[in-house]
Amino acid sequence: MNCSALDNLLDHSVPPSAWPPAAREHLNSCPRCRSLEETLSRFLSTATPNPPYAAITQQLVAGLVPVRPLLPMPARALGFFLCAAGTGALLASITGNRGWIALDPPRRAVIFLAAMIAAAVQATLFAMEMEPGRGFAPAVRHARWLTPAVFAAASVILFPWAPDADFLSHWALCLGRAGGTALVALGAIYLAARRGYFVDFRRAGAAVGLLAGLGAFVSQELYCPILEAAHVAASHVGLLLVLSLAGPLLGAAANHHSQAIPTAGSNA
Amino acid sequence: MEAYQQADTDATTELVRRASPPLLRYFLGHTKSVAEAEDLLQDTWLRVHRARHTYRPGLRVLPWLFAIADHTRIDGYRKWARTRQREVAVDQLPDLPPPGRAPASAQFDVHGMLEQLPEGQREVILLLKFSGLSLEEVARIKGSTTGAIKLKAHRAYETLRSMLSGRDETK
Repeated sequence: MNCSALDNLLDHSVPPSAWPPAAREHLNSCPRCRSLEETLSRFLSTATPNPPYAAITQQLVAGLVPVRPLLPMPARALGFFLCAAGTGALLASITGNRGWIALDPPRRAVIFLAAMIAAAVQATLFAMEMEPGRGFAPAVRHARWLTPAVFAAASVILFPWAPDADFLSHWALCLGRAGGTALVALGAIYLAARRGYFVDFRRAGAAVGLLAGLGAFVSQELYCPILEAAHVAASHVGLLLVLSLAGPLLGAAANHHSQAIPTAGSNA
Repeated sequence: MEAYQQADTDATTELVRRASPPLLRYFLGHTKSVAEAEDLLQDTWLRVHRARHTYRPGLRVLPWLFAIADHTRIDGYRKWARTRQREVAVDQLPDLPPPGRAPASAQFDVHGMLEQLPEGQREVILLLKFSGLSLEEVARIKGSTTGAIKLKAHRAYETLRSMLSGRDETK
């Protein structure tokens, strides 16, 4: 047994009396480890003054009413997925599906499958954010930044590069329509998420931005018949990129300006 | 916790009684005064109360509770930093302990050592050793991996060992 092996025992809240004999032997022979163990134990045993139980309990018990727990995580994720994908599909059903018709089946499958998978992942991440203590590994968090990049790359690979003279007017029109769809999706997601408690507004903002952006992307792909790489990248994927950057910033701003707890309807 | 969600007064009292000590230990590791730690504790319980519907029955209570406590602490720090920015004149006054209380450093000699640890390592030690959470639970709260938490803890142990041996040599 050495100091490094003893660290593994220190990771667990087990008193030295319950440690294996080799560890206890090391503790007796190593003054550095003994000193560390004693210091940590001393703090644990003496550091807790009596918390103000009565005052806290009194505050909590006053007006205590039963609450309905949040829906299970898969149900919440499905709700957010429907907010994004449903909004896109709904608005496209009003404006038309010329984009869907113009796409050939293989590209249609690739684009919509990728959008659905990305939306499902973001919806799941956002559903987890609603619940404190349901963190996920940093690798998963960082992977979300790949979404706009993958979509931008796919638009260049899947469509020919041939911007026309009306590029800017088409871009503005498409972006305006996508922005409207994203706003509707944001409203729907807000309504579905209002019972959550978010401990990281930036992460939550990133997921919401990407979800709303994906809703707008689906709507554009269903509606817009312009199958040209620059147009798809700039207007269809462009908004996705803008929202994925704006989401965390808006989340951070919301957190900065509010010390209040975002739990409207928590007693429902 | 489930009984607390169903408005059971006894369960609420029991929950506060059992969960407050590790929470207070956690805040004491971060703040310089007992009064401040108790304020954070009260604030945490108010947040817990308003967010109690977000606890999913069947899951471990402590990671959920400490995620809220961690959020409360960060908000408290931001509030303190903003107040400090506005109150320049107060900075020039000497630091006095709160009336009727001994300074925390006098009560807990390890507090000073914890303060010297990098923020990430201190946080892990407080959650792991002083709040009784497991590596997996700390990883969940901090949105990290078990391996990364373990690495931080072991680095912190090593730093603490060095500090302790340095202190022993000067005695």
